[in-house]
Amino acid sequence: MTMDPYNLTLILLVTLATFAMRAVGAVVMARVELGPISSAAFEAMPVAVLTAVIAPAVLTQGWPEAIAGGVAVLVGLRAPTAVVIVVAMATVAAMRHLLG
Amino acid sequence: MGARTQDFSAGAIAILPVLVATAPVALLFGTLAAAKGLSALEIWLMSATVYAGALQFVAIDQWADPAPIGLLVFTALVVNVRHILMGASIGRAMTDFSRPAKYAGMFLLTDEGWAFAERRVREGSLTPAYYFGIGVSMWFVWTSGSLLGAVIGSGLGDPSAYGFNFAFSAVFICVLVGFWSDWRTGAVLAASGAVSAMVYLLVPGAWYIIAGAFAGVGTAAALHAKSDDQPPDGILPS
Repeated sequence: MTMDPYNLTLILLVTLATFAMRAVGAVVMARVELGPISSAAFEAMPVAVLTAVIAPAVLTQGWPEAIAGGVAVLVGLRAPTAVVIVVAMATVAAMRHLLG
Repeated sequence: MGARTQDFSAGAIAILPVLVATAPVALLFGTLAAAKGLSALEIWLMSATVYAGALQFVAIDQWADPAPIGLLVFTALVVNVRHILMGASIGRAMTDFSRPAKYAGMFLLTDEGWAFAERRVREGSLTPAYYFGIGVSMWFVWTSGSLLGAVIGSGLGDPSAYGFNFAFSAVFICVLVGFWSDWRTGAVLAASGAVSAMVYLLVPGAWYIIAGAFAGVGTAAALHAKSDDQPPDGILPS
Protein backbone atom coordinates (compact mmCIF):
# COMPACT_ATOMS: atom_id res chain seq x y z
CA MET A 1 0.00 0.00 0.00
CA THR A 2 1.59 3.24 -1.12
CA MET A 3 0.38 6.81 -1.22
CA ASP A 4 2.25 9.17 -3.49
CA PRO A 5 2.17 12.75 -2.05
CA TYR A 6 1.51 14.21 -5.50
CA ASN A 7 -1.39 11.85 -6.12
CA LEU A 8 -2.73 12.51 -2.61
CA THR A 9 -2.72 16.27 -3.25
CA LEU A 10 -4.46 15.75 -6.57
CA ILE A 11 -7.16 13.50 -5.10
CA LEU A 12 -7.84 16.01 -2.32
CA LEU A 13 -8.09 18.95 -4.75
CA VAL A 14 -10.53 17.05 -6.97
CA THR A 15 -12.48 16.12 -3.82
CA LEU A 16 -12.75 19.82 -2.91
CA ALA A 17 -13.97 20.66 -6.42
CA THR A 18 -16.64 17.94 -6.42
CA PHE A 19 -17.78 18.78 -2.89
CA ALA A 20 -18.08 22.47 -3.79
CA MET A 21 -20.41 21.59 -6.66
CA ARG A 22 -22.52 19.39 -4.39
CA ALA A 23 -22.78 21.80 -1.47
CA VAL A 24 -23.24 25.12 -3.22
CA GLY A 25 -26.68 24.40 -4.64
CA ALA A 26 -28.15 23.00 -1.44
CA VAL A 27 -26.73 25.64 0.88
CA VAL A 28 -27.25 28.77 -1.21
CA MET A 29 -30.45 27.98 -3.07
CA ALA A 30 -32.31 26.58 -0.06
CA ARG A 31 -32.26 30.07 1.45
CA VAL A 32 -33.62 31.92 -1.57
CA GLU A 33 -37.30 32.92 -1.39
CA LEU A 34 -39.12 31.96 -4.56
CA GLY A 35 -42.05 33.57 -6.37
CA PRO A 36 -44.70 31.48 -8.14
CA ILE A 37 -42.89 31.24 -11.47
CA SER A 38 -39.53 30.30 -10.00
CA SER A 39 -41.34 27.78 -7.77
CA ALA A 40 -42.77 26.15 -10.87
CA ALA A 41 -39.29 26.12 -12.38
CA PHE A 42 -37.86 24.48 -9.25
CA GLU A 43 -40.60 21.87 -9.17
CA ALA A 44 -39.69 20.90 -12.72
CA MET A 45 -36.00 20.56 -11.91
CA PRO A 46 -35.92 16.83 -11.05
CA VAL A 47 -37.62 15.90 -14.33
CA ALA A 48 -35.56 18.39 -16.36
CA VAL A 49 -32.18 17.34 -14.90
CA LEU A 50 -32.91 13.60 -14.98
CA THR A 51 -34.05 13.78 -18.59
CA ALA A 52 -30.99 15.81 -19.57
CA VAL A 53 -28.66 13.29 -17.89
CA ILE A 54 -30.01 10.26 -19.77
CA ALA A 55 -31.21 11.71 -23.10
CA PRO A 56 -27.91 11.17 -24.98
CA ALA A 57 -27.52 7.60 -23.69
CA VAL A 58 -31.05 6.72 -24.79
CA LEU A 59 -31.53 8.83 -27.93
CA THR A 60 -28.14 9.19 -29.63
CA GLN A 61 -26.53 5.75 -29.33
CA GLY A 62 -28.58 3.92 -31.93
CA TRP A 63 -31.74 1.82 -32.22
CA PRO A 64 -30.96 -0.81 -29.51
CA GLU A 65 -30.74 1.88 -26.77
CA ALA A 66 -33.70 3.87 -28.10
CA ILE A 67 -35.91 0.77 -28.29
CA ALA A 68 -34.79 -0.40 -24.84
CA GLY A 69 -35.60 3.09 -23.51
CA GLY A 70 -39.15 2.79 -24.86
CA VAL A 71 -39.48 -0.71 -23.40
CA ALA A 72 -38.23 0.59 -20.02
CA VAL A 73 -40.94 3.29 -20.01
CA LEU A 74 -43.69 0.74 -20.73
CA VAL A 75 -42.43 -1.83 -18.21
CA GLY A 76 -41.77 0.95 -15.67
CA LEU A 77 -45.45 1.87 -15.66
CA ARG A 78 -46.23 -1.40 -13.85
CA ALA A 79 -43.07 -3.18 -12.66
CA PRO A 80 -40.55 -2.35 -9.90
CA THR A 81 -37.12 -0.89 -10.69
CA ALA A 82 -35.21 -4.18 -10.45
CA VAL A 83 -37.42 -5.78 -13.11
CA VAL A 84 -37.10 -2.75 -15.39
CA ILE A 85 -33.29 -2.88 -15.15
CA VAL A 86 -33.17 -6.55 -16.12
CA VAL A 87 -35.67 -6.15 -18.97
CA ALA A 88 -33.91 -3.04 -20.31
CA MET A 89 -30.47 -4.66 -20.23
CA ALA A 90 -31.83 -7.79 -21.91
CA THR A 91 -33.51 -5.65 -24.58
CA VAL A 92 -30.29 -3.75 -25.32
CA ALA A 93 -28.33 -7.00 -25.59
CA ALA A 94 -30.97 -8.67 -27.78
CA MET A 95 -31.34 -5.64 -30.06
CA ARG A 96 -27.58 -5.29 -30.47
CA HIS A 97 -27.50 -8.94 -31.44
CA LEU A 98 -30.42 -8.61 -33.87
CA LEU A 99 -29.55 -5.23 -35.39
CA GLY A 100 -25.86 -5.01 -35.14
CA MET B 1 -34.68 4.89 17.22
CA GLY B 2 -37.02 2.24 15.78
CA ALA B 3 -38.47 4.60 13.20
CA ARG B 4 -35.01 5.80 12.24
CA THR B 5 -33.68 2.27 11.72
CA GLN B 6 -36.77 1.49 9.70
CA ASP B 7 -36.30 4.54 7.48
CA PHE B 8 -32.60 3.80 7.01
CA SER B 9 -33.43 0.24 5.91
CA ALA B 10 -36.22 1.52 3.65
CA GLY B 11 -33.71 3.78 1.87
CA ALA B 12 -31.13 1.02 1.53
CA ILE B 13 -33.76 -1.42 0.20
CA ALA B 14 -35.14 1.12 -2.29
CA ILE B 15 -31.67 1.68 -3.76
CA LEU B 16 -30.77 -2.05 -3.80
CA PRO B 17 -31.32 -2.57 -7.56
CA VAL B 18 -28.96 0.36 -8.19
CA LEU B 19 -26.36 -1.16 -5.86
CA VAL B 20 -26.45 -4.39 -7.88
CA ALA B 21 -25.83 -2.44 -11.09
CA THR B 22 -23.14 -0.26 -9.44
CA ALA B 23 -20.97 -3.10 -8.14
CA PRO B 24 -19.56 -4.25 -11.53
CA VAL B 25 -18.96 -0.63 -12.56
CA ALA B 26 -17.00 -0.05 -9.34
CA LEU B 27 -14.96 -3.20 -10.01
CA LEU B 28 -14.20 -1.93 -13.52
CA PHE B 29 -13.10 1.44 -12.16
CA GLY B 30 -10.71 -0.27 -9.76
CA THR B 31 -9.13 -2.39 -12.48
CA LEU B 32 -8.75 0.53 -14.91
CA ALA B 33 -7.20 2.76 -12.25
CA ALA B 34 -4.81 -0.02 -11.21
CA ALA B 35 -3.80 -0.43 -14.85
CA LYS B 36 -2.89 3.30 -14.89
CA GLY B 37 -0.48 2.70 -12.02
CA LEU B 38 -2.45 3.95 -9.00
CA SER B 39 -2.00 2.00 -5.79
CA ALA B 40 -4.96 0.23 -4.19
CA LEU B 41 -4.91 2.75 -1.33
CA GLU B 42 -4.99 5.69 -3.75
CA ILE B 43 -7.86 4.11 -5.67
CA TRP B 44 -9.86 3.51 -2.49
CA LEU B 45 -9.20 7.08 -1.32
CA MET B 46 -10.30 8.54 -4.63
CA SER B 47 -13.53 6.54 -4.56
CA ALA B 48 -14.11 7.41 -0.89
CA THR B 49 -13.54 11.18 -1.13
CA VAL B 50 -14.08 12.23 -4.76
CA TYR B 51 -16.97 9.73 -4.87
CA ALA B 52 -18.23 10.60 -8.35
CA GLY B 53 -18.43 7.71 -10.80
CA ALA B 54 -18.53 9.48 -14.14
CA LEU B 55 -15.85 11.97 -13.15
CA GLN B 56 -13.54 9.25 -11.83
CA PHE B 57 -13.66 7.43 -15.17
CA VAL B 58 -12.83 10.68 -16.99
CA ALA B 59 -9.99 11.40 -14.54
CA ILE B 60 -8.48 7.94 -14.94
CA ASP B 61 -8.76 8.28 -18.71
CA GLN B 62 -6.71 11.51 -18.57
CA TRP B 63 -4.32 10.20 -15.92
CA ALA B 64 -0.64 10.46 -16.78
CA ASP B 65 2.60 10.58 -14.82
CA PRO B 66 2.58 13.24 -13.46
CA ALA B 67 -1.19 13.70 -13.61
CA PRO B 68 -2.36 17.11 -14.92
CA ILE B 69 -3.75 18.79 -11.76
CA GLY B 70 -5.25 21.90 -13.39
CA LEU B 71 -7.00 19.92 -16.11
CA LEU B 72 -8.40 17.39 -13.65
CA VAL B 73 -9.73 20.01 -11.21
CA PHE B 74 -11.33 21.93 -14.09
CA THR B 75 -12.85 18.69 -15.41
CA ALA B 76 -14.21 17.95 -11.93
CA LEU B 77 -15.97 21.31 -11.85
CA VAL B 78 -17.43 20.99 -15.35
CA VAL B 79 -18.50 17.34 -15.12
CA ASN B 80 -20.22 17.94 -11.77
CA VAL B 81 -21.92 21.30 -12.43
CA ARG B 82 -25.15 19.29 -12.59
CA HIS B 83 -24.81 18.65 -8.84
CA ILE B 84 -25.47 22.36 -8.21
CA LEU B 85 -28.90 21.89 -9.76
CA MET B 86 -29.54 18.59 -7.97
CA GLY B 87 -28.40 20.05 -4.64
CA ALA B 88 -30.53 23.16 -5.13
CA SER B 89 -33.58 20.98 -5.69
CA ILE B 90 -33.12 18.35 -2.95
CA GLY B 91 -31.71 20.91 -0.50
CA ARG B 92 -35.15 22.52 -0.30
CA ALA B 93 -36.62 19.22 0.89
CA MET B 94 -34.00 18.74 3.62
CA THR B 95 -35.96 20.62 6.25
CA ASP B 96 -35.41 17.93 8.93
CA PHE B 97 -31.63 17.88 8.43
CA SER B 98 -29.22 19.47 10.90
CA ARG B 99 -26.50 21.58 9.32
CA PRO B 100 -23.78 18.88 9.63
CA ALA B 101 -26.23 16.26 8.31
CA LYS B 102 -26.94 18.48 5.33
CA TYR B 103 -23.25 18.80 4.48
CA ALA B 104 -22.72 15.07 4.98
CA GLY B 105 -25.74 14.43 2.81
CA MET B 106 -24.35 16.64 0.06
CA PHE B 107 -21.01 14.86 0.26
CA LEU B 108 -22.90 11.62 -0.49
CA LEU B 109 -24.90 13.13 -3.38
CA THR B 110 -24.98 10.95 -6.50
CA ASP B 111 -27.23 11.08 -9.56
CA GLU B 112 -28.96 7.83 -8.64
CA GLY B 113 -29.24 8.56 -4.91
CA TRP B 114 -30.58 12.02 -5.70
CA ALA B 115 -33.23 10.57 -8.04
CA PHE B 116 -34.46 8.18 -5.34
CA ALA B 117 -34.45 10.94 -2.72
CA GLU B 118 -36.55 13.16 -5.02
CA ARG B 119 -38.94 10.25 -5.52
CA ARG B 120 -39.26 9.98 -1.73
CA VAL B 121 -40.04 13.71 -1.53
CA ARG B 122 -42.89 13.19 -4.02
CA GLU B 123 -44.26 10.33 -1.91
CA GLY B 124 -44.30 12.25 1.35
CA SER B 125 -41.27 13.55 3.19
CA LEU B 126 -37.57 12.83 3.16
CA THR B 127 -36.07 11.95 6.55
CA PRO B 128 -32.30 12.05 7.15
CA ALA B 129 -32.39 8.32 8.02
CA TYR B 130 -33.92 7.42 4.64
CA TYR B 131 -31.46 9.67 2.79
CA PHE B 132 -28.46 8.17 4.55
CA GLY B 133 -29.85 4.66 4.01
CA ILE B 134 -29.47 5.42 0.30
CA GLY B 135 -26.22 7.37 0.54
CA VAL B 136 -24.22 5.23 2.95
CA SER B 137 -25.05 1.96 1.18
CA MET B 138 -24.09 3.45 -2.19
CA TRP B 139 -20.84 4.82 -0.75
CA PHE B 140 -20.03 1.42 0.76
CA VAL B 141 -20.65 -0.46 -2.50
CA TRP B 142 -18.70 2.06 -4.62
CA THR B 143 -15.65 2.14 -2.32
CA SER B 144 -15.47 -1.62 -1.65
CA GLY B 145 -16.10 -2.39 -5.33
CA SER B 146 -13.27 -0.11 -6.48
CA LEU B 147 -10.90 -1.51 -3.86
CA LEU B 148 -11.74 -5.08 -4.85
CA GLY B 149 -11.26 -4.22 -8.54
CA ALA B 150 -7.88 -2.63 -7.74
CA VAL B 151 -6.75 -5.71 -5.83
CA ILE B 152 -7.92 -8.43 -8.22
CA GLY B 153 -6.86 -6.44 -11.28
CA SER B 154 -8.00 -6.84 -14.85
CA GLY B 155 -9.62 -9.89 -16.38
CA LEU B 156 -13.22 -8.93 -15.67
CA GLY B 157 -14.01 -7.73 -19.14
CA ASP B 158 -16.00 -4.62 -19.94
CA PRO B 159 -19.39 -4.33 -18.16
CA SER B 160 -20.71 -2.24 -21.06
CA ALA B 161 -20.49 -5.42 -23.16
CA TYR B 162 -23.23 -6.87 -20.94
CA GLY B 163 -25.39 -3.74 -21.12
CA PHE B 164 -24.49 -2.55 -17.61
CA ASN B 165 -24.11 1.04 -18.76
CA PHE B 166 -27.73 0.94 -19.82
CA ALA B 167 -28.83 -0.21 -16.34
CA PHE B 168 -28.44 3.36 -15.09
CA SER B 169 -30.57 4.76 -17.92
CA ALA B 170 -33.24 2.20 -16.95
CA VAL B 171 -33.10 3.35 -13.31
CA PHE B 172 -33.59 6.99 -14.29
CA ILE B 173 -36.44 6.09 -16.64
CA CYS B 174 -38.21 4.33 -13.74
CA VAL B 175 -37.88 7.40 -11.55
CA LEU B 176 -39.07 9.67 -14.38
CA VAL B 177 -42.16 7.51 -14.96
CA GLY B 178 -43.07 8.04 -11.29
CA PHE B 179 -42.72 11.81 -11.71
CA TRP B 180 -45.37 12.04 -14.42
CA SER B 181 -48.24 14.32 -13.44
CA ASP B 182 -49.78 15.93 -16.56
CA TRP B 183 -49.03 17.20 -20.05
CA ARG B 184 -46.70 19.83 -18.60
CA THR B 185 -44.39 17.03 -17.45
CA GLY B 186 -44.32 15.88 -21.06
CA ALA B 187 -43.43 19.39 -22.27
CA VAL B 188 -40.55 19.67 -19.76
CA LEU B 189 -39.35 16.19 -20.68
CA ALA B 190 -39.46 16.87 -24.43
CA ALA B 191 -37.65 20.21 -24.16
CA SER B 192 -34.98 18.86 -21.83
CA GLY B 193 -34.44 15.63 -23.79
CA ALA B 194 -34.28 17.28 -27.21
CA VAL B 195 -31.89 20.06 -26.14
CA SER B 196 -29.69 17.67 -24.16
CA ALA B 197 -29.36 15.22 -27.07
CA MET B 198 -28.64 18.02 -29.55
CA VAL B 199 -26.01 19.72 -27.37
CA TYR B 200 -24.44 16.33 -26.66
CA LEU B 201 -23.97 15.79 -30.40
CA LEU B 202 -22.70 19.32 -31.10
CA VAL B 203 -20.66 20.40 -28.06
CA PRO B 204 -17.86 18.37 -26.47
CA GLY B 205 -17.88 17.87 -22.69
CA ALA B 206 -20.70 17.55 -20.20
CA TRP B 207 -22.53 20.79 -21.06
CA TYR B 208 -25.50 18.89 -22.47
CA ILE B 209 -26.83 18.27 -18.94
CA ILE B 210 -26.89 21.97 -18.04
CA ALA B 211 -28.32 22.96 -21.43
CA GLY B 212 -31.07 20.33 -21.28
CA ALA B 213 -31.88 21.11 -17.65
CA PHE B 214 -32.29 24.83 -18.36
CA ALA B 215 -34.45 24.10 -21.42
CA GLY B 216 -36.74 21.94 -19.26
CA VAL B 217 -36.86 24.36 -16.34
CA GLY B 218 -37.41 27.30 -18.70
CA THR B 219 -40.30 25.45 -20.33
CA ALA B 220 -41.90 24.88 -16.92
CA ALA B 221 -41.51 28.55 -16.02
CA ALA B 222 -42.94 29.69 -19.39
CA LEU B 223 -45.93 27.35 -19.07
CA HIS B 224 -46.61 28.59 -15.55
CA ALA B 225 -46.37 32.21 -16.70
CA LYS B 226 -49.08 31.49 -19.30
CA SER B 227 -50.95 29.87 -16.44
CA ASP B 228 -54.07 28.29 -17.88
CA ASP B 229 -55.19 24.75 -17.26
CA GLN B 230 -56.08 23.89 -20.85
CA PRO B 231 -53.27 22.56 -23.02
CA PRO B 232 -52.63 24.89 -25.95
CA ASP B 233 -53.59 23.58 -29.41
CA GLY B 234 -51.16 21.09 -30.78
CA ILE B 235 -49.73 19.96 -27.44
CA LEU B 236 -51.50 16.89 -26.20
CA PRO B 237 -50.69 14.68 -23.24
CA SER B 238 -48.88 11.68 -24.61
